Amino acid sequence: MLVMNDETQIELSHIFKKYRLYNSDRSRLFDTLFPFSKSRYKSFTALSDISLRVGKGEIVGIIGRNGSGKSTLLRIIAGTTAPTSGNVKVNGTIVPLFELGTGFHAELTGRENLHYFTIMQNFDKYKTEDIIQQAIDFADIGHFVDQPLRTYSRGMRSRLAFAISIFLDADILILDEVMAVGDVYFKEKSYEKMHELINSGKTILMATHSEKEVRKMCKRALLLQNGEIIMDGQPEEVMQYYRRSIKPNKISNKNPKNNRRKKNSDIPRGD
Amino acid sequence: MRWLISEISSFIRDLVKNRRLIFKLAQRDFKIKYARNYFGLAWAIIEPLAMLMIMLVVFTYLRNRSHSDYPFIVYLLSGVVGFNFFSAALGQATHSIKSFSFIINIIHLRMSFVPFISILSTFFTHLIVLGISIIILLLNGIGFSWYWFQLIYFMLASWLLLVGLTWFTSALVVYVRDLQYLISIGMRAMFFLTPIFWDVKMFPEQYQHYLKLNPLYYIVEGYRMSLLYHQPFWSDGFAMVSFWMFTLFFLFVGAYVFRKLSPTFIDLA
Repeated sequence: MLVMNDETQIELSHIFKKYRLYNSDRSRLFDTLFPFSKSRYKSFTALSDISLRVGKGEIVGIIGRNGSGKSTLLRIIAGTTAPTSGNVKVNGTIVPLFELGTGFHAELTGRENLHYFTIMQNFDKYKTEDIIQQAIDFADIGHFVDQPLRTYSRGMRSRLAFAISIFLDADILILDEVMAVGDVYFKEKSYEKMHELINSGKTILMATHSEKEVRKMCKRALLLQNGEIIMDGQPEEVMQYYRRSIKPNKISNKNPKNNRRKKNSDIPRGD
Repeated sequence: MRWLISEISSFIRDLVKNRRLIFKLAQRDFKIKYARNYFGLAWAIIEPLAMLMIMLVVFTYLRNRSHSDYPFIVYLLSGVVGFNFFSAALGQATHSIKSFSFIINIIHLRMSFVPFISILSTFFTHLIVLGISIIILLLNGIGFSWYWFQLIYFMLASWLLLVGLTWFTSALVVYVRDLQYLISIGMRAMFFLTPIFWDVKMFPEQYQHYLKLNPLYYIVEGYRMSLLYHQPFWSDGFAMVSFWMFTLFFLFVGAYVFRKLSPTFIDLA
């Protein structure tokens, strides 16, 4: 089993998240405003009975197919959505980095966006300007930093967003599919920086599809399926199980030549 | 009743605690509004002035000259400045849940502050326009008076009405998009139903009360009371009582509806 740190950073107990699916917004409106009227909704369970303890300094990878509840789980930990039932306990500050650039506005310059983003994260008490300058240096986007965000390439945007959330110096970092940003050089730099953060004892939760990231960074992996944690353990084991559980023809492209040959030989058989 | 008092006090406490964040978000919203234009912020001034010129040209021909003791531009300006703030803030704040939906995803701020932020952002424009209006008034021979500070009371009053009203509209518009068209039609009607280019004294005494039921009457006339007439805010008791009844009503209804609907915004907005 896993060795956990003594100090608990995140503790979830029996978390459920249910969504009500209505046929129309109108019935949702009436149901919400007048709770005693007859309800007509279907219930959808995004998370069911999740209990989890994450110690200080743990790097946890969360894997699972689309719609398995990864993002909902991260949102609940970040406190941006409330669970339907269950308890969330978080010690320390969190920077959630969901879909890259949420909270950024295309009409504001990179610098302005960083400024407002930093304030929104309530980190204004610290040396905001220092943090922003460090992030700008790290993102390395040159004179673009004083241009409106709409002139940026996707990669530049992601780099900026990624950089600021790293330099905000929170205790817990939540990453939702955001590591695979920028070019090879920037990726290397990000991994390096992440390792620095890991060594400095940050707790990191990351949802990802990338096997490489999980292997490279995480000490622990969770596999989510239909809103439940079905596996919690060493990244290697969990990844293997995950690969076996998804369709066999979708596994690994470690050996693209082999795959292509297979595909080619498949064609005559298909005929 | 106790529940209500604790709700209100916790709202105000949070408001004070988050004042910097709220101010910054309003500033951000304000910047975005004017960021893309070549003239940028100048539009905040040009637009209302252009409207004023148009109205001046049109209504100078139409209006009944017999009533007002003031130059028409002074009369019009002192009335329209408060109305424009109200109208712009209502429009912006009604959309605020949608335009600020990113907030839900990154920070946990009370959602009920969101329309508030939007009103604040419009208020920045209002302060600029008010400053220019006062310069125009001075140029037209209207002298300074301590009554000008009474504007703070009328600003506060319009804020409270706006907050209640936009809690209601901003929450509802998430479900019923059509509402925004109704509001825009409603505000256009209000422009004619409020004494902006006409004077209530033009109507027979027995009809004046009906016109004063309109809560905007008190705001528009209140700006004039402060800027032109130099009358205290209680000098029109009927309009004052009517205004505060409306405002309290909308604050209650708005708070109820917003409270009920806000937990669902995250799935919808």
